[in-house]
Amino acid sequence: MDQVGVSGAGRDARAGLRDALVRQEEGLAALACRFEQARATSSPPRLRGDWHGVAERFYAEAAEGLRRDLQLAAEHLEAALFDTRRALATLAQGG
Amino acid sequence: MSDDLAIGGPGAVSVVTTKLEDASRHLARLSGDLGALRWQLACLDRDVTAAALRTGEAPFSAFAAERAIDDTEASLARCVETSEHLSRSLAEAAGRYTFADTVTARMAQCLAALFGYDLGFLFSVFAVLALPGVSVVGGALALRLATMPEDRRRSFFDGLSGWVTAHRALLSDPHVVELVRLTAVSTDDFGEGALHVPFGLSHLLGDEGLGILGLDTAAATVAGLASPFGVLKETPVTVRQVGVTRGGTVAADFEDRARRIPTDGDQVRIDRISTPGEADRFEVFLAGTSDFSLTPGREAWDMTSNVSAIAGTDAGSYRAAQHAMALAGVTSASAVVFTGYSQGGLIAARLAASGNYHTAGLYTLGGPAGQVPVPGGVPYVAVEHSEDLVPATGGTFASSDPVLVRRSLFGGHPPAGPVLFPAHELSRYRQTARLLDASDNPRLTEALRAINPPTVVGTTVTSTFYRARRG
Repeated sequence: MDQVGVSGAGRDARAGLRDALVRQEEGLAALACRFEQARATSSPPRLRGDWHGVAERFYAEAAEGLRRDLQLAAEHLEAALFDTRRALATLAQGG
Repeated sequence: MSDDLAIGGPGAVSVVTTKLEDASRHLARLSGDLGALRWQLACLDRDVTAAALRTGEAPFSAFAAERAIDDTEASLARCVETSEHLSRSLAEAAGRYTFADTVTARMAQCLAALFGYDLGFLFSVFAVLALPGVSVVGGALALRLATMPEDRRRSFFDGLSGWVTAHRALLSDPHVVELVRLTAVSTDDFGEGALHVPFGLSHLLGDEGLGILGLDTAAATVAGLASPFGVLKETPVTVRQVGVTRGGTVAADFEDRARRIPTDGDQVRIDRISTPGEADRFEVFLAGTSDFSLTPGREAWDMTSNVSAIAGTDAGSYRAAQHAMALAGVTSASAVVFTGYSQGGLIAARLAASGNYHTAGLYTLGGPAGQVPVPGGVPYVAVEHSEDLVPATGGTFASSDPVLVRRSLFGGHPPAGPVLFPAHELSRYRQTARLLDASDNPRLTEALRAINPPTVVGTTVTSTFYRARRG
């Protein structure tokens, strides 16, 4: 159950929260788009065979770490968007 | 066929640092983009405060969203840091590779000079000892060839040509190409060794030292020795205009310029670019060698011109290009961009280095122009294929500093076919020129910007074609 109790005094504050969450949802959606564009155009390139062993391994590991972090950031962003939408839906149901 | 370009200075020989530099730029861009996104996320996060969540009696999912936003921010911060670090490391690695390559190239040249000197020294000693024997054996072989029936002689030369064709892969081997390049810059050392010039003096006077003696001296010596026999002997040339076209466009990029190099018998194309209220500018396009025989005939773009141009003397093709430019109205004050393929590239570099013209740019494709001292202020792009022997015969870029673009075409497997030097074909250089235009390498884009005149409405282009003949 995603709902919490609503008191009459909190109605105005709730309307303000809903507005803020709407702005957050719009902002997160736009951000997710820009993030995917940045990932698609500039993700760390693979450089196998273009240089020597040690440097290649160092780069490969660091680039792999970066790819993982990028993936993680994408998942967190998706979760933030999903939860914001869920919160908005819940607020809408609660009036 | 690889589309990778190695773009650098004259020292770029082993590691394709261009890819590292490109990757560094990509990562710097990624870091900038992610930094901006992180900032936007932080701004967004400030909108929904903890107090608003509490007083608005927010559902659990709103708190979960806040936690997810915090996690996103933390991940983005790590990404920004890693991409920044990687970008800096790649740029550093590329710089160090370039330095190492420059040092290696310099050492290879010094070793080749030493080897050439020793070989020349030993040659002079053994030549004296072996001269009688070599004369007898050589004379006998020459006599045998001369007295051979025509069909057997033809069969002998066919066999020789067949052997070369069967082993043509060697002629497109990048290692052989580098060997030829080092041999070219060691020919003067060979001569000095043979003349027993003290090594210290030879080193001082050569490319590795003051650069007084070099490939040009060696080529001039060869031409000087051969010319009494009618071989590599310079002759007067005549130039005539063979065609004019009007209403063309101004050459805009590398591929466009490569496509304007004449191929159908004409050797020189000159585009006159006229803009109202401004002095005319010119683009000169020079063709490659047409006649590979050592004895001069009617063709001015021949081997005699090649050797003379490498020697730095007045080659027939050089004089022809000068004459054509004078006919086209080029003066010492006119801004000129030179583009040349093969011998045309060598002549273009000689014209740019002559100081007789106001050179606005120089662009060579497979030109053996390594030893031509082109002034540093001239925007200069030299394109070579790693498997192309022809530019290697011009030696290393010891006295100029072009944006040198190298591309490996075959990955060790040259195409089958009758062509002896497939990597030297103009069609392949045109393909490479297209890749130059597609590259976002700052050295290339900056060079193109420097070479390209500003586009002005009302500009007209008149293209004139010239043909030169000896005699």
